[in-house]
Parts: sequence; C-alpha cells; structure tokens
Amino acid sequence: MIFLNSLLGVDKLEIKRVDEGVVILVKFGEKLRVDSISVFKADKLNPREKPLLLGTLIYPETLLLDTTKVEGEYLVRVYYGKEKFDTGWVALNTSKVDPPKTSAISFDTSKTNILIGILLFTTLFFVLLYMARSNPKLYIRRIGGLDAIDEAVGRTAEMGKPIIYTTGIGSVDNLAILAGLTVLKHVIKKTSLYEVPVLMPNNDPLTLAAAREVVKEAYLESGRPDLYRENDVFFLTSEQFGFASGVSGMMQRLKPGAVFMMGYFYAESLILAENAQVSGAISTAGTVSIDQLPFFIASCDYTLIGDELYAASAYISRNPLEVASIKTGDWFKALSAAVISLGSILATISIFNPQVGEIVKIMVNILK
Amino acid sequence: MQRQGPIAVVILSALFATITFFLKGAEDIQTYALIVAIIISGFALLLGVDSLILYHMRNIQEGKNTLFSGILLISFFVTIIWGFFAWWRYGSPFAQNSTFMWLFINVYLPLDATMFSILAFYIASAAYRAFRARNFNALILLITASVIMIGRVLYSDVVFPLALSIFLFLAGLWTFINTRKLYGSELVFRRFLGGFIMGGAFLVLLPPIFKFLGGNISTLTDWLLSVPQNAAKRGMYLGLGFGQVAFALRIMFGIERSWIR
Repeated sequence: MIFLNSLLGVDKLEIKRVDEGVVILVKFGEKLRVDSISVFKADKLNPREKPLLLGTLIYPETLLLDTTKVEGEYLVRVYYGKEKFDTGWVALNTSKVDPPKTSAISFDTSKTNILIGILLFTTLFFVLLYMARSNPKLYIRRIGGLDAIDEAVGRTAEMGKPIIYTTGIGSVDNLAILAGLTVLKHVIKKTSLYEVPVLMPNNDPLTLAAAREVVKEAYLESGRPDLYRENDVFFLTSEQFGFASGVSGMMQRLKPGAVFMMGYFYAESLILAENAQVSGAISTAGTVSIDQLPFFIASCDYTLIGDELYAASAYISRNPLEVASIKTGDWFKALSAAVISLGSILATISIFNPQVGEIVKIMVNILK
Repeated sequence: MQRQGPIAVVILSALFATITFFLKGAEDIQTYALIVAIIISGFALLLGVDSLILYHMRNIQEGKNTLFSGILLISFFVTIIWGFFAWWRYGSPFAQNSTFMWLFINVYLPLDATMFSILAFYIASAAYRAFRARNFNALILLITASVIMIGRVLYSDVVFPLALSIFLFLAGLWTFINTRKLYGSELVFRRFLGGFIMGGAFLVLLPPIFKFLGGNISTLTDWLLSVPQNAAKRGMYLGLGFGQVAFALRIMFGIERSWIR
C-alpha cells in the first residue's frame, strides 16, 4: 500500500497486486480540484518507448486494473484547471508492492466436475467399444443427408457436371472442418466410381493441405489414383466474403450437379446455399454453427443438423469403434435429459416444499 | 511411419492440451502452444499463395476463365508491390495516410460491404421459401416468425392487433368461400366456422382487446425467444457438446483417421 502526498490534490493512491493483475486505486478532489489522473506504464525492457497509457480516471474515487503482464514502472499525470495544467509524469514507488506470484502448477479444483464428466464419458466409451466389438450391428438412426450422397453423385454423373465441395471458413483446429473432411473422403470414393470431378475451394492453407491428403488417399483407396488432380483442391482466399463471392461465382459459371457444404460457416452460409439453389444443384449442407443452421434448412435440399455432422463418419463407415463413440454421446444425451427433467420437476415442487429447494441447490452446485 | 508419426503427434498434443486445461498456473504453457500454432499457420500461408498462383496460371494456360484468372493474378501482384511501395514510402503499409490503406479503404472495403449487403436479398428469398405453409410445421413457423417480426418493429402495439385482425379476416373469408364438394351439414358447419373466424377479426378491433393484445406483444415475443426457442437451442448445444467430445476422443485415440493419409 502506498500513500502519495507529493501529488497535489491526490488524497490516496494505492497499488495492490491481485490474481488478475495490479489494481491502482485513486481518491482525489476533496481538498483541491483535480480534473483527472492518467496512469501510465513504462516498459522496463524498452525504456525508450513512450509509456503506455493504462487509463484515465475522472471520478473522485475509482480504481484501474492493469492486466498487462509486462514488467514496468507506473507513472501518473494529474490534470488541473480544466486540464490546462498537469504535473508531468511522476513515477510511483512500487517497491512495497508484492512481486508477481510464481504460481506453481497445481490441479484446478474448480474443474473437478468437468474431469469427472470426461472420465465417465471415456469409461462409457470403452464399455460400449467392447460391446460394439462383440456385436458390430449397433443401431444408428438414418441420416437423410448422408443417404442422399449417392443420389447427388449419380445425378451429377448423368449430367456430366462437376461437384463443388467446401468445408467453409476455418482451419483444421476446428472439429467441424475435420468432420467435413471425413465426409469428403466418402464423397470422393463415390465419385471415383463414375469419374465425376470434385472441385474444392479452400479458405485456409492448413485445410487445403489436409484436404489434398484426404482426396489423394480416397482416390488411392478406391483404386483410381489417376483421377487425382492437385489443381482441383485449391486455395481461394482467406477473406470471408471474398471466399463467398469466389465460390458463388464458380457455382454460377460451372452449374455443378451437386454442392456439398460440410464444415463451419458464418454469414456466408446463406450466400453459398442460395447460389447452390439458383444454380440448380442438389445442395447438401452440414454444420454445427447453430446460428447458420436455419439458413441451410431453408435453402438446401438436405441438411445435417448439429452433431449429425460429427456422426457422419461413423454412419458412413459403420466401423464399430466409431459407432461406439456415437452411442456414448447418445447415452450422455439421455442422461442429461433425465437430469434436466428431474431438476425441472424438483424445482417446481420446491415452490410448495422449500426442503426440496435445498436438494435443487445441491444439484446446481454439483453441475455448476 | 508416414502414418504413425502424425497420429502420435496428434495424440500427444491432444493429451497435452487436455492435461493443461485442468492445471492452474499452466496458462503460459497454453499461450506458448498457441503461439507455436500461429507460427505454423503463418508458414502454411505460403502454401496457399503457391496454390493460388499455380491454379490461376494453369487456368490461363488451359484457356479456362482467362479473364477472371488474369484479373486475379494482376490484382494479387499489384497489391503486393503496392504494399512494399507503401512500406518504403510511409514506413508501414498500414500507416493512416499510406497509399496501401487508400487501396484497402476504397477498393477492398466497398467490395466486402457489397457482398455483405447482398445477404439482405438472399434472406428475403430464403424466407419466402421457408415461410410457405406447405404443412402444419411450416404453418407454425410462419405464424411464430410473423409474431416475432411484428413484435420487434416500431409501433408493434398497433401493428400486431391490426395484422392479427387482417389475418383472421382473410382466414375466415377463405374458410367461408372454399366450400367446393361440401354439402348439407358440412357446408353449414364450414360457413359457420368461416363466419365465426371473421367475427373474431372484428372482435380483435374492440378497444379493450386491441389494447390488451398491443400491450402484450413484446412480452409474447420475449417469451417465444427465451422459452421455446432457447429450449431447442440448449438441446442442440447439449447434443453438440457430447458430439464434439465423442469426435475428439475418436481423434485422440487414433480411431478417426480419415483426415490423414
């Protein structure tokens, strides 16, 4: 804690270290009229650099939180007389401020419930994996959009047109893009039977590299490596609307037989879906972006809704290992629905019986 | 090894990310990993540039879309040269008065805004398709969407009762007139129903009912958005969350390999 009386009109100036950073508390204006106080930080490593303005305090008692992790010296500048006069930069003595805590790495107890949830999920996953191995015919409900791939490819082959496939905006760190690439592999395997070209414009260079590998592998697995053309999987632009206009232009010029939009989409979703519709192509979309789903449902012939996209590869391959993971998700969905229903019933009863309300509070605290 | 190597890297990275998520004080390690990812993606941009140039060069060679590909290549190189010039002339291509920023503000931004504004027209055409009352579900969607749209406009307290009255009148009129192949008691019932609905349209215009409906439209809109819509959304988020965990586990354990060669 530091008290500064050298600055005229400033009654109190405290510097305190908290978990989030450094708090600077200022109280002024009781004895002398102070307009404002600006707080700066000078970078110790680059002393020639102009001090960074952290903020200007205009209320008589206010605080400022410095979250910058740069080691530096705090400076203040006090303004008086409608900001006509100021004190210039005055360095603050911060020797009494606790040094930053060298935080030892430890388990974050606030995430215990998440850890338990993940461990439960993983355990159930392995149990179902064992069950799937002994009984490979586990039931998964029909997904219309994936069943329609054959129809779309067949129609395109009859028309002698290409297919346009896009995974939308984002890199391979996005799970939806990875799921889109798994569907791409299946589409390529189907198209290789009829020698239908698949054009894939990309928005991200890393996705481009992964997509090229997927396409090459799919042609190789279907015994037609000669059909692979590196130029069919290409980089368009990393700009959102540039990408949308580029893909839309391709749809209008080439009039593809089918358009697949499987991955992650933002505002460009409707531009792509409407252009696919106008070009006369069979349009199939799949995204986990909930805000864009209504647009796809309105404009596309088939839509994979939400987690159907993640389930796509398991649905297509029917690999028991993959099916087990889908089943685990389904079990957890059922469990969540049961917990939510129980919570709703108990919360309703608690209106009449306060003791039940305590049980609801415990439930909420566990799940929070 | 060509296959096992990348899978091993994925498994180790996934385990590393999962473990650091549960550790307090490991934020710096996570930030460092993020910086590494950004640097790698920066290098990958060269791959994109290579693909872009080759694709359009090949298009020109093959005589496909020569004009578009030509314009793109010229724009690409002119922008790069312009950027370097602005760097040399103004110290940074992004300096406020640099010619590169002029190019950005006067060429790129209007083009981007144009594409974005086209969305409004696409929304209208998609809404037309979505709101056609082809079945009962589509009818519910049409009514709900209409209520929300009216509830969000200025003077909704006047517009909503008026719109409801017009809708009821038209629906009643349609029921009253559309009596082909109906005879006897069925015809009488249909005519009665049509008249009843039309009567409802006039009832809505009575001042106390008009005021009640107008005064509660915003409450109804908020309820629709925060209760039924939110419930559906949360259900989807829940499904998505579990779907993501399942998909991530498949990748982590090397079960899902279709993204790799």
